[in-house]
Amino acid sequence: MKTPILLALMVAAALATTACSKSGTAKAAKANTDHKPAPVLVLPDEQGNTIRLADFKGKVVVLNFWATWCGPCKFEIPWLIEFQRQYKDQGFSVIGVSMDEGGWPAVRPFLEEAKTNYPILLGTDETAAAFGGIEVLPTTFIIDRQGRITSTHMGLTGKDDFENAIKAAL
Amino acid sequence: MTSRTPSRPLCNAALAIALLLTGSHAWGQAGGVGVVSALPPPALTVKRGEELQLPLSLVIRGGYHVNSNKPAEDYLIPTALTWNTGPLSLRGVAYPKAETVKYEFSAQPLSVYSGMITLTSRFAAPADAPRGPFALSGKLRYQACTDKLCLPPKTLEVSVPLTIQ
Repeated sequence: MKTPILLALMVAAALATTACSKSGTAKAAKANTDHKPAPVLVLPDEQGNTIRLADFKGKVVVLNFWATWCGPCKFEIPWLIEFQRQYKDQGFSVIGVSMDEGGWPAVRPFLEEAKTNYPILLGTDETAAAFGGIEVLPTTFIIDRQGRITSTHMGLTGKDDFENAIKAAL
Repeated sequence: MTSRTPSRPLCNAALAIALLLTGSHAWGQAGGVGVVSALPPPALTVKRGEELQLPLSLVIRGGYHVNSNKPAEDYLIPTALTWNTGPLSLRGVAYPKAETVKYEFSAQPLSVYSGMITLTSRFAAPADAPRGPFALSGKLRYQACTDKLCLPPKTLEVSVPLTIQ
């Protein structure tokens, strides 16, 4: 007798959560981060070179965590290519960190197709942990010339929002 | 025509109840609570030499979707259910009909599941299968997104108790 009641309760509760579509938990979010220093980031690029975030000090950096299986991430990448082209001469760089478990064999074909013009690095669980867990993709940090995080964008961000944050940091 | 969404407190309460109840069973998510929860099936028995149909009902959290078993794009991770069948043999897994949904981030409509879905697995019990209780263990691999963001791929582990007669 107890089991059918329990099951019915579970189904009802589960369906109620399903009905709560787009009520908040699933939305993209932007968080201010109090200009905290960006964590240390040292990762390899496709050629095996070691890239350090610290080497970009003095530049405004858009640090974008993404993956090839993430549709919203791929939607943003043409914007990032455009920002890199438009602002690189003003002391600016995009850095992409792929969180693909499949490594370079998974990432390389996409990079060739997308023709990215900024460094792409391969992230690890440790990288994600250092940056607060990276629970959703895309997650993008805007980092100022002093190496401080000025804003964090979780989920698909409007192109104008990105560009305004970049211009403010420049 | 407008549709109403339940209030935020109601949604939070419903989610809490759902998580509490699903957490009270052996149906859990490897590595913490995920977007997909499995509902426990009824007690199952199968006779030696016969077939068994196992419906596995899954609830996908509101606002999220998972890719179908046959995603529209090569880069997407399909939903896939695999079983450690023990003495049984797997005859096949029937996936539900997918929804076709166009999202802002994709040029083409995607093939996805959302809400509540049921995957039906068919097993055969050999004539010489050992009689008695045992547990079928399965792994559901999925990757969830909303219209704005994605979560890392996850594996939901399920365990289904059944008896061979």
